[in-house]
Amino acid sequence: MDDPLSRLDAALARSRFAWIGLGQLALIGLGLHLAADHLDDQVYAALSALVERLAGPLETVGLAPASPDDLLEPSAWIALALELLTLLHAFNSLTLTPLAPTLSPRAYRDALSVHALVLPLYWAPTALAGAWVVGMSVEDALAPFAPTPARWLGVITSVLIAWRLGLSGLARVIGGLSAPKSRLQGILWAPLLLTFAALAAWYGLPWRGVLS
Amino acid sequence: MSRRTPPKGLKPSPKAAKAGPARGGLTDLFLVVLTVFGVMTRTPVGGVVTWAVDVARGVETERPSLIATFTAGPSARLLAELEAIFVQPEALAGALGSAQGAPGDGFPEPYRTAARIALAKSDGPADDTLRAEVAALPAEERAIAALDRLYQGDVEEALEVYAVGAEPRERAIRRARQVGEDEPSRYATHRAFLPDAQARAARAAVDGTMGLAKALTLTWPIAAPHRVSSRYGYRVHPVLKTRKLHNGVDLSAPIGTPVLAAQAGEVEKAAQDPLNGKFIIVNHGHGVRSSYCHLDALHVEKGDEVTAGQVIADSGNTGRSTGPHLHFTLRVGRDAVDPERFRPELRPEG
Repeated sequence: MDDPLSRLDAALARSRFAWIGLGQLALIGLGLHLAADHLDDQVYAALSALVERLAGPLETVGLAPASPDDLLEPSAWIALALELLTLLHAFNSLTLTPLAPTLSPRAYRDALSVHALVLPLYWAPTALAGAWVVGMSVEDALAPFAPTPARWLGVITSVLIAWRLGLSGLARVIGGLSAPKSRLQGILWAPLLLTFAALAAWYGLPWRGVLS
Repeated sequence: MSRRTPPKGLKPSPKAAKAGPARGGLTDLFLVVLTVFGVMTRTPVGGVVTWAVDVARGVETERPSLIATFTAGPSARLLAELEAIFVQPEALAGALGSAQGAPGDGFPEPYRTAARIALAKSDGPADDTLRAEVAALPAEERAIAALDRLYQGDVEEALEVYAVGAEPRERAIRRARQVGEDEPSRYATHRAFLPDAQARAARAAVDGTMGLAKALTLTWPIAAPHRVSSRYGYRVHPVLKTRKLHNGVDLSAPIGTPVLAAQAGEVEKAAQDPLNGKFIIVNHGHGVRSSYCHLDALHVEKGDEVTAGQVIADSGNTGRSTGPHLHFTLRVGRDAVDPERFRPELRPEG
């Protein structure tokens, strides 16, 4: 424990509470952004259907309904707003919980609610998708110098980040759960969080290609 | 979201702090830095930060779009720049035929790219042959034709390889394959997996050039004699009496006049509503879409593939319309553009 590197390592470990949350949040942000890149297509489809349905009533009151191709940009802004809202939820989940709370099945059972059920379902795929994105960034940055090692470094980075930031973040938010006022707590957030989770799992993880 | 500990900001309780691992600080900090690096390179945050720094330093710079990553296709501004080059024969000939200096220098991307690829892949007498062949073509077809000849039809690949390089393209294809995409080698399928800066270059080169090439080679949707009853631009709406952007052109035509697809593409929508009446939207790829409104009869369905000049409908007077006409819009990227700018008989000769 005497060498300077070990001392630095220990000092950084002691101050982890001050900066680890930034990495955990950035990781979720990357996964959310990847999912949001597909969410805007879904929003566009929903808006088109809505406009088609509302065109008649709007016409009767003298309002011009939007043309279908005017909906592309609003769809993108709605996806961005939902992404930021979900990121805010992740920020809220992370910042007000202890750094390394005690995890126990009993504590989780006590805290069981819609929110407690949705949290791991949303956090895990989003963090994994984010880890994959960071791995890609590392590979892209190193590939011009050494393509093959860059690929492996990308994979190793993804695994390390999923473990050190993704898993620790998940443990942190799960451990931070408390007994809910109602078992239905979090039901309003659930559709949004699960939509992002599904998009991140479907488009953000390489399992489909591996299976095929 | 209630929790076992009351809000205390970022600082944990002494017990919680002790519960954290006492080693691995360097590793974790390194991973946090990498993750933040990922955010800077894979989301619009990096662009916003760069813009903010430029503004703080007093450097004039364009504000980045926060939604750029959600919308495919080139911007109208880029296309206007490209169009200026495409329809100027002498500028084009200079780009392709420059004997001095680097080929294509002095021309904006992605046109310079096209010229450079054309010349880089040809040398000696072949170069002259290529130039002679290309020079004989209409101006707007020259670069695409030169690339087409050199790459056996895969112009997209040629432009993308030039803009981003072969190796990053291969990586993007591999990632698209990993997530189970059906046609990973198609640019539209794997472009999301390109690194951020290279994705921007590819968007300009591939979507910009190909999108403009599509717009510049469109078929006018009505072949029969007709007049333009309302042009693109701001006007007072004839029914609502409000000032509004007329996002296309109205072509006066008797009910039943054949309506032709402006370009090859896929029918994205064939439907009816009270505003547009019966309408069709065709997606031509590379951010180019055309739509045809107030139709009388539709001859295609959603999902159909159409060819340029194919009869897709009969014009009519359905929806909110004051007389028989076709409302034709052309959208390049996010913006509706004036279709008459791309009308074949109005373009300058090459």
